[in-house]
Amino acid sequence: MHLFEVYFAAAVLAGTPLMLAGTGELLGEMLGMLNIGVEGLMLIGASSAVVVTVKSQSPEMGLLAGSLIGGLYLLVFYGIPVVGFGTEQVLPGFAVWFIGLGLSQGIGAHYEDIAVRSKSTIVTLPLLDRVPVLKEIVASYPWPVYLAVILPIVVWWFFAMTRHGRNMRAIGEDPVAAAAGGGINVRGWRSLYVFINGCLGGFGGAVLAVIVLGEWGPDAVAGRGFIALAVVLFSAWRPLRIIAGSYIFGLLLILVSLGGALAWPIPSAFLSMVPYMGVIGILVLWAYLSHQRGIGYGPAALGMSLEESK
Amino acid sequence: MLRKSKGREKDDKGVGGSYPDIATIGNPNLHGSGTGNVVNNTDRNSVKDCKKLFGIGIAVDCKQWRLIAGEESQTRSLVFRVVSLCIVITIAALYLVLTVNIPDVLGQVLDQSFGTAAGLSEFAILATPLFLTALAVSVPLRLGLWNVGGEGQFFAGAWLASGVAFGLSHMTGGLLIVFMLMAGAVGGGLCVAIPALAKAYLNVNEIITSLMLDLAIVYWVDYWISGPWHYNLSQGGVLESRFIPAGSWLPALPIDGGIDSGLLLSLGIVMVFGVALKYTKIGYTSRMAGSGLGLCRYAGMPIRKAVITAMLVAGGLAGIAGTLQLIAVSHQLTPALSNNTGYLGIAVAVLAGSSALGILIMGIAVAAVLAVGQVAQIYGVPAEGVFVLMGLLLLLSVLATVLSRYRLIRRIGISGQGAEKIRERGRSLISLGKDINEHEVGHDAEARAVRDAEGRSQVASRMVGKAEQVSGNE
Repeated sequence: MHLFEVYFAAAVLAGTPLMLAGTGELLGEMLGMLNIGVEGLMLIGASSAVVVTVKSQSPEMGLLAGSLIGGLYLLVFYGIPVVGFGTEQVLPGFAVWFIGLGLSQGIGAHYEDIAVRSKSTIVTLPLLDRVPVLKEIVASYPWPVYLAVILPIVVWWFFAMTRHGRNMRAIGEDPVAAAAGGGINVRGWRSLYVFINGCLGGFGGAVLAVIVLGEWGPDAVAGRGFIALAVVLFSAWRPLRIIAGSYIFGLLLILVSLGGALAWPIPSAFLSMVPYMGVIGILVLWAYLSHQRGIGYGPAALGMSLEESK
Repeated sequence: MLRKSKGREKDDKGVGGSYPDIATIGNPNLHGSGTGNVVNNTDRNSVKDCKKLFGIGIAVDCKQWRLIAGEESQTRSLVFRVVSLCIVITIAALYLVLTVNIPDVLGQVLDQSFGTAAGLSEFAILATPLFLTALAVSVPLRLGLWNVGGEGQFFAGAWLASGVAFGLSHMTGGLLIVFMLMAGAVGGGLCVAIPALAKAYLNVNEIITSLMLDLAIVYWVDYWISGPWHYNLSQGGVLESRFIPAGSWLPALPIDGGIDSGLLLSLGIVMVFGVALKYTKIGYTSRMAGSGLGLCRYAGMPIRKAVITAMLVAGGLAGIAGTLQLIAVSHQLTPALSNNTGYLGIAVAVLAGSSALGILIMGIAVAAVLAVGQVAQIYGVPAEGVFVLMGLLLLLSVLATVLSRYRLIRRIGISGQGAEKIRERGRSLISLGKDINEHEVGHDAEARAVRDAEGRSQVASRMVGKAEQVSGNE
């Protein structure tokens, strides 16, 4: 029972960065901007957060720096070409990935394997911490875990209830019509949400390094950016499903340490493959089920610039 | 009103004269349609025509520079890409100038690349797999598919090839090498089969699936080289497999310095693909598919087959690249087998822009960047810097594609004032035409005048359209 609680908590922690980055990516995609380079974004967020945390001795400062740097990074390397020049979106996404891959190694070069985990960020929920089992598995996590769960709910409320959210969906479906009919400043909105997407992706990376792993290493992110993309595909662009998707993929990510702890007779190399193969399996299965029911299409203008939509 | 118009016409051109098509004014490429008169389309004459027709001389202004938006151009795009390559090299050079002693580095780079025969063979080793992994991205890219998992397919090919080498170690020589190359192609193809089928049948995003497989394959290879094929003598967690049987080593070419013959094979494959994709039915299909899968579906082309074939071929190519690296260079399966070759292949393919010659040129350029990077690494420059350069290159080359839509050309334009005058004049002529139509006409002269006025009104309405189009462009 104790082991279950520990690994449940580990899965929740592992799912949190995915949820943050996935929510950011969802916001971007709702406005028609596909950013393939979440991986590079998370790397930048993770490395800069660790550097700032070590320098300032404050994980909050590190998380803040990671998200702001992530936002600026995405705005410069993705926002300017895609929103400003109206280029196609896959290549700038690759550029974000590649540049993040290189730049983060430079940023974190002297900060490898420095432990930055701190207990100060843990928040204990009132009332719930008196219930026996829930005390362990729900009630006490670092605050970003709760924030990560609240965010998709806020986004859902945003899309479903507010005028702003509907305008966002209008941009994602048809930017030209949104600009002409709705009088929306499409470029301005897209720039804003590129920044927010960058902030959330960077924050996800920062949470991963500062809180989940507690250190920076060159392979800190290890494909989680692409798993975050898979979370968005899994969610079929419905914000609340981001929560479920992130925890499922988080569970896959901790499988290797769970296998080690339970001494499963499977080589750890094979267990390390499981998250990635699992993502493929879930995506294929999910696509099959959606195919059967004819659902699961993204925003119509996804991946199209304003110029292309005309 | 009628009289007035008739009189002016006699003065100008004679009754029943025909008029230049308005589209030809200021646009020498278009010819007047059906008017009988061949209009002399020099600019000065256009001005004169304008004056004759409408009494407005200033409608057509002098030539001026304009930025014209049009179709993307392959040539201009290529030029811009070369420029962006130069920009990136300059950035890298600036960084090197600031951090390391340039003469040392340059000297060593020359030693290790073009300077010496041994260096040239080192350089060939860097470039050989790049050509193939770039082709592995380029082939599906013609269909608009992104095969990002070249790195994984590279290792999958090398893994299956070493399996064959260990299994058939009693064989020697050419036949074993051929078997290994075939195994490499099959391994790479197997690795890409899941993303290909998922894309073709369920439209699952191939970028994510191929990259996930790529990350998984690394652990798969780790398992084999740390377990069953482990190189016993290597100590302390070094991940290396046993050496493959010496009979399967690819011999070097009998040239000074010994350039490995893998280079020839790699060049040959790129050229064969370059020719085949240009002149065969498959190439035609893939080009069609590249211009839009919907179009292909409409034309009844087998899209699923094309998608699966392109992806499998791509995987096979990356697998052959891994096998070549295995049999010609390292002779054992290690994580260091690939120099991020699979990922760099993406950059090369994008820069080359679906041209086989481009792959060769850009492959050599990227290999040169790698060579500089390897030397600079000795001087403490991080190895991942190469990725930053590749990212910048991708960014600049995609900007180049956009910029290639624009042309800075000198041509005559109609100024806002002139356009306004034409518009006014045209409107009055149109209303004139309407007036005449409403008039009851009996005389010949008047009938002719009606015809003329109708002709004019047609011309004028076209002129208004043209003027609006021109002023809209401004």
